[in-house]
Amino acid sequence: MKNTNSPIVDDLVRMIEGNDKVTVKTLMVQHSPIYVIYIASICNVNKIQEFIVKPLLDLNLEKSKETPVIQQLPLDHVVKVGQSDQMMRNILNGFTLLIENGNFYVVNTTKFSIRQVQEPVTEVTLRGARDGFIESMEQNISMLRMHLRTNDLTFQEFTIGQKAFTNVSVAYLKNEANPELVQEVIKRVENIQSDYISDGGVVEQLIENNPHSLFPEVHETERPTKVSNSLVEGRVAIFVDGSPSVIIAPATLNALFHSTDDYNFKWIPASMIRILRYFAAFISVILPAVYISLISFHHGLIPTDLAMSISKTREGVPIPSFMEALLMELTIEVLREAGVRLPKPIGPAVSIVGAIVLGEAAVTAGIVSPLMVIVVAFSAICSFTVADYALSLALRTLRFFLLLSAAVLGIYGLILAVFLLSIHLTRFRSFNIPYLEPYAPYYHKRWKDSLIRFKFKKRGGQSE
Amino acid sequence: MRNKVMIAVLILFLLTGCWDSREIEDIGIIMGIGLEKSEEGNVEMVNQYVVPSQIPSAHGGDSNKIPFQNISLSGDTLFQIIRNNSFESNRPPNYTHLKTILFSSSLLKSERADELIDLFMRDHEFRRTTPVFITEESVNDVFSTQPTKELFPAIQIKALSENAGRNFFIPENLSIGDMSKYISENKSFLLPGLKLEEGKILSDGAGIISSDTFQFLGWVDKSKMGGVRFILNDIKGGYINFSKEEISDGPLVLELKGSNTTYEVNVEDGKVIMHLRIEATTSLGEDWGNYRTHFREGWKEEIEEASNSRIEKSILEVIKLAQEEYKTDFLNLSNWIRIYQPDFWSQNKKNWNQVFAEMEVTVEAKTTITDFGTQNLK
Repeated sequence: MKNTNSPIVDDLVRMIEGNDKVTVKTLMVQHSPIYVIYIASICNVNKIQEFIVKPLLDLNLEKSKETPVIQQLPLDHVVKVGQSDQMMRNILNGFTLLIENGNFYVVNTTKFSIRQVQEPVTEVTLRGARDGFIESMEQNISMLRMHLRTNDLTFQEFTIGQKAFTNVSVAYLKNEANPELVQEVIKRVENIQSDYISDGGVVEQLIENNPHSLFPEVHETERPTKVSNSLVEGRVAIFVDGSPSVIIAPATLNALFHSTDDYNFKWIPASMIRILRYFAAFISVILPAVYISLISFHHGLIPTDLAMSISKTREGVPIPSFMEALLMELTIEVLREAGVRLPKPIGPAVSIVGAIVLGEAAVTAGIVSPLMVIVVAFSAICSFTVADYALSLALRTLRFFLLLSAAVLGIYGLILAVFLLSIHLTRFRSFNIPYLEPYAPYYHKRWKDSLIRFKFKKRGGQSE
Repeated sequence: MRNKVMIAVLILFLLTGCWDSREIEDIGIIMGIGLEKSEEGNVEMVNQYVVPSQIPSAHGGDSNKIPFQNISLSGDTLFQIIRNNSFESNRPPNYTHLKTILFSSSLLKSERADELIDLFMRDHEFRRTTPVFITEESVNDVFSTQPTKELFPAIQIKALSENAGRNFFIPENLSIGDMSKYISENKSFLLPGLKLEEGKILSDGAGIISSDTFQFLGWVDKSKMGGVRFILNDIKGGYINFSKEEISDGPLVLELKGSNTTYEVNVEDGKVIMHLRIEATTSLGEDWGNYRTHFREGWKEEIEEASNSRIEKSILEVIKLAQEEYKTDFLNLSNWIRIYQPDFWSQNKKNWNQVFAEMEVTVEAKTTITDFGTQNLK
């Protein structure tokens, strides 16, 4: 092999030559070598053969005196690059590197194996677009562009990760997003110092401000329409290559409760369902705790008939009510986790059969009281209505905290725990946006899309 | 800042005081309390405990089980008795679901009501809304009567007044809070009465508690309760029944839809003259006089007139009972003297029962029939 003028190129060629998965082709054009370097498994080899190698070999020599040979190739986009680590990255991204006279050019010949576009499994909607993000960032961005056609849409690309790099792209609408917010997101993404980023969930945790909080600081979604809606509202989205989850920042508690369905149906029934969802989340967190505090501290607060029937059903239950509640909660959580881990066809069957059979048998055996089964099962079902899985996880963890406080100090303890929770939530911020906005701080103009989604304006604007 | 918050929260946890968790099945829910004179001469207290396992369940089961247990003990104070219940029962009594407090009239003849209810007012577990009753029967017998529809006699007793809005011969329940109010205002009052008949608990008039000693004075018969409730302006409904002899082409019933009593109080030469004006709205509830001529002028006025005199009579009967037989104002008329003649009241409130006995009361009733039902047979 003939040496080039630049020693960097020699190093690069030598480095690549050691790796037999990398294809290095040397073509002699006009008596000087052109190197074509690519990784065959992630490149469209046909494209390379047809649009690079073949034209180079057939090249008409006279025509190519003035401009570099490579610029005359019938390719859509040839980029001249400088540094050698950038070259390496380009090759790893599936680009083809061309070297001519010590100048480096890259051509997009990417062909990673990707999955078909499918409906996201975790976020189900009844109406509206059914496409879901896949593992290719390029495809994801194309999906977003399909739903959001505006020249405001801006992307800023980053590569993060020390040992192996991951492409990350920050998307926002120039005229909608607050520049400070965009700066903050970009700063946090740039500051990530990690060896390897495996998924959006890792990025999410690395850009969070308060890793001790249970509540998600950002919103994670697999739905392009959700991203487009958020961008229009002025939020910022972070795409991570290789991950179908796109991160939306900032997140507020209010926004986490919303589902895209809320916007696709008429406003009165949609608002009713939204209120129902808030209510169910509240029940799911607080019901077991209230039940425990009522039956082990404040017997006078239960209606007499109910008190007597609870007393009757608890007769002969050997364990204290708190342990009983804990036992049932743990059972439900185990069943839920098992349902997620088990292979698809048998997962639901096992969890449903497990819940019914275990609950029924536990009551018959006299280990738990039937009312406790009702309370725990209902609060578990209520938690399924929460649209965001990360929030649902947070609420499930909180339930145990409230249960414990109620078991120690009754309603008083429960109220103390709710106080603590409120203190945390009012202080909590997601990218400098108060988490409880628009309730605390109180922005009544933003209440139009909170508990109730008001009807859309017919003359422009989101909702009135 | 953060530390201050943490300290504040910690203090909240430490300020809980005496606080204990107790499982609901381990407490003895008390449904009713009965108070009676014991054979030794002190107080006998009956506590009606719920026995949860004996409560018949929804899907059949043995309905012959008795879902309650009465523990009857005597002692000097109620507190002593309650604690001594532990000799017999392992479940600490819990009074948050208390439905009924029942006094026997014999006990209230010798003990003061204000002393007896001290515990109920003082202890935090008792509710001020618990109704109070009085009976001539043995309290133990009343609490052992198993009612047909309700599970517990204590609940049955409380529920008797549920129809007090349809029948003015049943007194409204008197809560222990109201009772304490009358006592602290130094007023006589009426306790709803009960009796046992053929193994059933029946509402039966009311017992008078005197303001002098807060002891039982005597009974107001249930037939007189209508008059009492007209005077108290407590009528929500009821009926006025006329027999064949009382009205031409009878029997006939007027249903009371509502009634309002207005009071007028004058003082002349140191003598109180009170005028009660009753305006009753009624509907024709049932009329056996199918051949009554409705085209005859004045047929309606005749009935109204009969009703007026009936109401007036029933009120004067009660006033007479209060003024002459018991010489005590259990009708709360002092309230209207206080409102309309405050000067006179402040001079005479010390010897009010005496003034009351000499006071002149006049009554004027005005009945209107506004509804006549759907159809007349002829």
